[in-house]
Amino acid sequence: MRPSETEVNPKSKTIALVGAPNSGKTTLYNWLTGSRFKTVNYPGATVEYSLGNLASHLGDGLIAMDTPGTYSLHPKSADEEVTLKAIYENPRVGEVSGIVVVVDGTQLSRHLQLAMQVQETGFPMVVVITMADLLAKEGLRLDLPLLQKTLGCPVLTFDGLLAGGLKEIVAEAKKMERSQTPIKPTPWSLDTQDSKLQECERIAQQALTHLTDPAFERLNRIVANTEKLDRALLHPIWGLGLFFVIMAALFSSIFWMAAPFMDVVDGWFSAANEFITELGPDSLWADFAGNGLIASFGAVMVFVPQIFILFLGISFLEGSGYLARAATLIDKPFSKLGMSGRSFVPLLSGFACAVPAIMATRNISSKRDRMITSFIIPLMTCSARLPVYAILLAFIFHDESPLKAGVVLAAVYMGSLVLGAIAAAVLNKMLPKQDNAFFMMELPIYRTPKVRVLLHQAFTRTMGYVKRAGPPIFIFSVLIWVGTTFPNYQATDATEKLSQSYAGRLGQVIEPVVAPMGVDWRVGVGLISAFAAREVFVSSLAVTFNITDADEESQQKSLLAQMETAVNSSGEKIFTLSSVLGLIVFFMIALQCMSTVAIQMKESGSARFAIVQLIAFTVVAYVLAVLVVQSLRFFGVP
Amino acid sequence: MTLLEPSLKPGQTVEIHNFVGDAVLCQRLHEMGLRKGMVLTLLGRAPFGGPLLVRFNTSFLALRNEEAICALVKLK
Repeated sequence: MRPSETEVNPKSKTIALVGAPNSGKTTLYNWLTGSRFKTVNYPGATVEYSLGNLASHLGDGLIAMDTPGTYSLHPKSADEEVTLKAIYENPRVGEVSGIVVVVDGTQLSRHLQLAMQVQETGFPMVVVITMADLLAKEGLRLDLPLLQKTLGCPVLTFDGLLAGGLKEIVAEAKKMERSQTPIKPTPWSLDTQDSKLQECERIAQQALTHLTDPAFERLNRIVANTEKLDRALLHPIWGLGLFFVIMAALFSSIFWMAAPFMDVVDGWFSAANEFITELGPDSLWADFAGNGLIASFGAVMVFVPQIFILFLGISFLEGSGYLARAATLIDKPFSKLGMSGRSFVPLLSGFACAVPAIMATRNISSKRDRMITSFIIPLMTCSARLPVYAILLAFIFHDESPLKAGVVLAAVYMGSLVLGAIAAAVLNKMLPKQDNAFFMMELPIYRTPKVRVLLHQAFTRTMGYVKRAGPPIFIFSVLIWVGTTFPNYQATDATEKLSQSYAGRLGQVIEPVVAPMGVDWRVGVGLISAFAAREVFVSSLAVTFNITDADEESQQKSLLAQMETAVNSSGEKIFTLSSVLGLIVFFMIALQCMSTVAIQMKESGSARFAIVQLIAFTVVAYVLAVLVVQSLRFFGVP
Repeated sequence: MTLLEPSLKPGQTVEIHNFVGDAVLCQRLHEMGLRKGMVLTLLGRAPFGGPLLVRFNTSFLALRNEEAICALVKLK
């Protein structure tokens, strides 16, 4: 996206899209803006709204704003407050000219309440009814003139799959003009709510017509299928079994489907790196461009295929209606740890990468739940840890069957869940209790998502990750490059260069600290470099142990051979069963990822929270690693 | 009795006749479409004694205990 496209034109009118979660609001927004949007952090809050110019084929002069899903204009949670603020006190757009209320046609009576609340504020309004295609398929007709008369505003239908009705919506939206200053919504009393809801039901009943049988009976037939499916998918036993099958399928596809693409991306960056380095052998600029810039860009981009597939899978589960069920299934155990079913998706994403996972916590409405969830996300076994575990497990099991290594790796994954549960329980005890934590999950009607919509969603989400995570990862990678290159950048021997570099010196300074873990300064340097990205640990070990093979496989073999014989200054072996297990424990817990810390600061809005977490996780990791190494050695394990 | 009444079984239909307890929760239940006189079908519970699953008209809701207890119901 070119930056000029997202510049907000002062002459443009801004319209806000408001609607319940799952109402199809974001789908309409995506169609309206194409990909010409950007997400904005509302000051002081972590929940977001997006602003975007109209897609080029729809003309100019209109800015659309997507707001977090809300059931009412009388806010009861953090993201609902954001919706209200985004409409009334939006510093970026001046004033909102009108509101498009998005209403799910299959949930007409419930969602019309929101339209009535908007009506009371005096904002110019257009009501857009989604899922019209689903209704039409069952022969149901909406009496639009009746709805227009009752609501006193234009009412249009929108087909989210094929974008039918988009032009008409744009035309009506452009006509919206403020004639008076809108007032703030006043919450309804329970009695008012009751009568308004009845009114909405009456309107809905009149508006929905069918030629042969009563409309609601017809609608109930759509619902019956969902009820049937739920009997299996939400069953206390079968539902849980299917949940694990679905999650295992999603989770394994992150790895096996992404692997070839990751190799391709890795290959591009390695080739580019080689090309640049050969342009200026032994020159500092070539080293910076190759091993600094390109290598660090590569470190970000190599995870993109995995993240895209994860988002594609999540979009599918979301679009089909299953995600709300998954959250419901897991709500009870999660509530014991101070979280809710809504924490499930962020935690799952944490197994790919903590950065998009922490961004995904925005959908959790309770601030307390959100804090606990984003706190434990870095404990999930992210994919950057995989190369580290691979080399360490290969060291332990290199002459034995791969099955044993597989079992231990599975244990490490399960272990990360257990650690997460413990950390959540601890934080849950420490944080003050808070009211107004809703669960109340609407379970949407099942439907088959359209591939085009899924790809579009996965793409925009992946771009969001790249834009957000890219800069911090890049900055820290460059810092690490500087730290491992200077001051003795002219040294021809890589080992010598590293040992005399700032990072190398720091490694030697901290040697007394890492010594109780049974390792020496060279591993210390690896641990420090791993703060750029965990997998850097492996390449750093290769450098410190002077491995010169360029080919990856032989590099691993040579590294394993070197690890076998490496001794510290007093002649003791560095890599033994106990020290390697200690390293695994350290990598499971330590927050060795500057990008995670950076995103945590941004999302929580609190540098203190992020830094406390960084220190706490790293200290606990160290203490546990030392404990493991020393107690194993005490019992005679080498 | 409330929606949580243990004698209520999946498949039974009940009618809401009043709301009690936390005002914010009651308001939210209305926003989700529940009101006096509404007929609900009980569908069961999520695993581990998790949220209560109900259907009314064309909507499905999962309610935690503290949310479900706000609705007073009678058998239909």
